[in-house]
Amino acid sequence: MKKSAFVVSVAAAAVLAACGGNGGSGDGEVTLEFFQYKQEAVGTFDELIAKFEEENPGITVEQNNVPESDTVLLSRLTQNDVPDVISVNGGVMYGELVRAGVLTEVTDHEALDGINDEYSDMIARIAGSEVEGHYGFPHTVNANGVIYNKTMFEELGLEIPQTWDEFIALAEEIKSAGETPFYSTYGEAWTILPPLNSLASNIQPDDFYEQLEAGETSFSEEYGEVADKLQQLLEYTENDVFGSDYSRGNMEFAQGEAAMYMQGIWAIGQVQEANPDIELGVFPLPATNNAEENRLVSGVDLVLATAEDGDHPEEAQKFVEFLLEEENLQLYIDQQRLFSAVEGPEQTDEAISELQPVFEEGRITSFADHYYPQGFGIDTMFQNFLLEGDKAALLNELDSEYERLSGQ
Amino acid sequence: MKKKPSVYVWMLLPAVILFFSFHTLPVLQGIFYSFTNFRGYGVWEFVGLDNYIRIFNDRNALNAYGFTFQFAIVSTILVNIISLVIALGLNAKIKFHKTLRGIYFMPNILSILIVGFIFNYIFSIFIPEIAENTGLTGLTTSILGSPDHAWIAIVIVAVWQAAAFNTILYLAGLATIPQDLYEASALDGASKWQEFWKITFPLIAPFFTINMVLAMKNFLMVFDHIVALTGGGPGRATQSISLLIYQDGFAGGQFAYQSANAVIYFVVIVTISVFQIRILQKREVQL
Repeated sequence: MKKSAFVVSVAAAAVLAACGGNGGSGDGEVTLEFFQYKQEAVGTFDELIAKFEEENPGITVEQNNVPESDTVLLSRLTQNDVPDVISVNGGVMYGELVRAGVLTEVTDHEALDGINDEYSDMIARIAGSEVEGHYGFPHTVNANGVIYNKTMFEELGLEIPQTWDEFIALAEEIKSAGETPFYSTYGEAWTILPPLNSLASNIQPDDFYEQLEAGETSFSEEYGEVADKLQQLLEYTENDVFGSDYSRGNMEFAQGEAAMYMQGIWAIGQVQEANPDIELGVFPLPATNNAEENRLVSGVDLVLATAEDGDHPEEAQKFVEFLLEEENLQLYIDQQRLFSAVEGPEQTDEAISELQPVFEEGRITSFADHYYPQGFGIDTMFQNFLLEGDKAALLNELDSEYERLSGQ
Repeated sequence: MKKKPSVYVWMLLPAVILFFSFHTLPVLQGIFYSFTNFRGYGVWEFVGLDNYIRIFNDRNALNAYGFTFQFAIVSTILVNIISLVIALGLNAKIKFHKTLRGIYFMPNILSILIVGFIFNYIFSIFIPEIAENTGLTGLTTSILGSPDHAWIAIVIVAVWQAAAFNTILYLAGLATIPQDLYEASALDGASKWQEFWKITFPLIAPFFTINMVLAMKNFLMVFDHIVALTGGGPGRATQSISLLIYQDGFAGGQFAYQSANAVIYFVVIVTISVFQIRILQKREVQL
């Protein structure tokens, strides 16, 4: 009698596991939900999860990756349904989660020691001054710059620009050689953000947000130059800029349609997939004419956090620690072509290893758009501006939107 | 003798409970939150009518209302013209008219999102490529990337999809007209044109009313077409009201504010539908 019940439950568990492991809360059997925002990383995480499950029998990890993950996550918060383990971009969304008080505090966790302080501080700043302590582990770091076609640069005998004027001269040179300098895909509004961040982060003063909050400055004062420069760059594209989207941009750039592509290094994987023979390099977009001051825009690509009142806090923590282990991070950054936030694993990919010295010298700054108020659609506002060319209206809208959103 | 509760009560009760908990309650909750500054989570407090007042000064909201009305009116008119023409054609004594009815109904079966993504490809890659090869310079850039013309693309997809359903309703209406009326008018020497205006159209007037109301209501609530085609862009050129509520309400952390918007939106749709029915039904009686 007892034996048959056991057989039944084993069979049931097997069926459940086969169906993708919904439920599965039998004896000693724990299922964790891992809410994961990066579509590019699904395969890599599948590989890591398989390894984790092998090392930790009894724990099943279910990866959940949805389109528009920020929206889904926020709407789940309204129902108090927080996933066990969450991976978010170290931007506005992370700050929202921390302020909503749904993440476990990890300030005293030893895994935090291995993480580069700069990145822990970066995400702490995003959470805001009213929050004490740390609530997530920076996992990987990205960068945002100009991806270029090395073969084309060699053929034309071009050099990496150090200042804004050199950058424009470079674009001119490419144009007069009969090639297209940039491929842009502003039909999908967020693709304006990589060049916009490179410009804004370098042009605005470092304490811009503090000043803004204190009412000492405004977007009108600081963003005029950003708008002008972004508009100037648009002159060096030839494709149907507002009718193209990100995936098309990756495809076309891979086919050699343009010499440069202003995107984050996260795009490199897809470009190489579309054309495995392409030789790429990356350089920071030189936003000003002061070569010393131009910095690379880099941010925390992925923050790992666990739910404050999840059902399985220990197992969730275990999974997070597993992902932060050197060997697993190395696998992750090799496949995803990012940089590790934990000291140890190094990026060896040829295309982006050029950026390694920039990181080592610390010539980096963080994404401007990570500090705007939530719901601040700067990409849509700039998209409108680039289409209509009305700078006064843009600056006006930036200020009034900021006022509206920070006032509520 | 004690009266036993009727069997109807027991049949009705579950439906009432389900309706109340999944329909009425969320609506009441939404109305409740529209008087607060709730972000969807965390702490909140009452702000009175603040949200409502702010919406009337919100450029994004006004822009969304403007776009949605423009889109809905144009689409409603087009859908009714097109589906009436198709219905008249399908009602005529032609070969394969049953097969054709099936084919014309196809767009309604397909998911709008999938159709939208296919059209997205057509508008932004297929048409520009053909235009480039044939030298039509006006069409070489994607219509979806133009703030002035993107709405036309959405009208095309929405009308293409919605015409199927309205055609079916018109066909049902045409089936109710007795054939002897046409025979009588033929004896009197009426032309085809007179036949349509004096017999067909007046007799399907109730179907015209319901088609106008349904189409208008559906187009005012347009959502998936836009998600699949433009995502509300470029800029905010094609952001409909429901898309604005969804995008800013969830991702923008303006849950309570957009709840207020949703309440206004609901009132607007109900008012327009009632108004339409009143006007159009009056016309029916007069005829």
